[in-house]
Amino acid sequence: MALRLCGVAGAGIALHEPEGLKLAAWAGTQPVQDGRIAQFCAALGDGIVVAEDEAAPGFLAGASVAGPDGERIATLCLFDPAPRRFGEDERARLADLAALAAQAFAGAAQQRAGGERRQRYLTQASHELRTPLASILGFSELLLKREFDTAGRQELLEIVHAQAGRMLKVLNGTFDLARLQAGGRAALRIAPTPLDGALVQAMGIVAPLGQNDRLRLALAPGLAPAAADPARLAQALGIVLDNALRYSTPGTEVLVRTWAAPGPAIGIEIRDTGPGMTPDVRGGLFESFYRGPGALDTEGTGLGMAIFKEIMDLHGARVELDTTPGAGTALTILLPALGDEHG
Amino acid sequence: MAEPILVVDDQRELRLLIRLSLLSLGRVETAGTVAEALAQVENDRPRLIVLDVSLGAESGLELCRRLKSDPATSGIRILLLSAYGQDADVAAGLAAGADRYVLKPFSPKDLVAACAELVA
Repeated sequence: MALRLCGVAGAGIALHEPEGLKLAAWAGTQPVQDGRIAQFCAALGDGIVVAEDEAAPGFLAGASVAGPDGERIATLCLFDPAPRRFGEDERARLADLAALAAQAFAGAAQQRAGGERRQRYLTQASHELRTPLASILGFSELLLKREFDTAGRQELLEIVHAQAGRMLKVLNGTFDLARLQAGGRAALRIAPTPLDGALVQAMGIVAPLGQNDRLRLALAPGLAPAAADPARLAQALGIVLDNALRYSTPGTEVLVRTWAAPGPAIGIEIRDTGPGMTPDVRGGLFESFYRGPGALDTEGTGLGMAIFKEIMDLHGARVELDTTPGAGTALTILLPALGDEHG
Repeated sequence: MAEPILVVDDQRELRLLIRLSLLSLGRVETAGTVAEALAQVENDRPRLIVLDVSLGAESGLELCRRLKSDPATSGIRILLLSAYGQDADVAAGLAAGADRYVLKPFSPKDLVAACAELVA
């Protein structure tokens, strides 16, 4: 493209890699002198430079291609064996091309990062499945090969059963998250959803913890309905209630407060007086398979908050976290509500 | 031999599984944290440590490196157990000085064979 656009005999891209300069692509005529391109690129500052080297005949022009942090990651080079003029038009074209190349590099880098994220996720998922599987395969092998008394046999079978249940939870969570990510917002069944109803459902979800008496509700009356998928909203609220009850100090109160917010939106705050989060825990909170220290038990899969965040993102909700080690955590959700014409 | 085998894993179930599996090799002690493991090493010099690579927030790999770089404990054989099985994970385990790297899940029979080989 550079050949035709700029009317030169040769053009290419040199990558500035940590190990040195690498000519990634070249079309058309190359300079005869070895290393001329490398020399030219190394000497090139930012912007567009035209080489005027008396000793080496021919024409060279280059434009630096910037990476995401503004650093030079490549040089777009033009070459012609004959000296030529390089006017304003051609400079502008070369600058446009360099900008295009920068976009292409940024796209590729983003794709690579996405690939790495998927790889990390798979590695973690495999780890989370292998761990309970170790108990299931190991104890069942022992049970098949050795004699145990009734109590011992019962204890080992209970572990096998519990660990199989844990595997199922990890599998369900993994598929649920994948379904949310693949389906996107189109897969949600958005409808006018009364928030109080979703909260009641969420409390039903966490009822088996036996901690609902710790919830203190401060719900604003007459809220406009949320623009939400009722089942997904209840699931998401269930996850944050579960986390708040599970990770805060036993016996302390968890406040659930709602209010009408501009937008229109509904504000929902879930505040506990628990141990709060260190910056590390806070940073990992919405990551898949991340599990904070201090859970009441080891039942969680580390997928809950990732699923919560995905559901909130798909709803266009804003999530804010206010947490201080030793001083509790407040999670605030601003959930889009239906306007007056629907309410 | 009087020295025990020490099992270090943060999961209670896995500690029990490994202990039951290895009983045929003699006395087996267990630890759930790095601090417990270090105390056991101090008091009861094990001949072999079966060590989980990830101990919750703590690192079994780090503990392995520490024991293997201290002349007082470098003679203790270490078998690393891990649910991470990529080549890079195994390489990191062996680079930390581990004598063996075994992937979870494992067959108790194979684990016994691997441990027997290390303490032979």
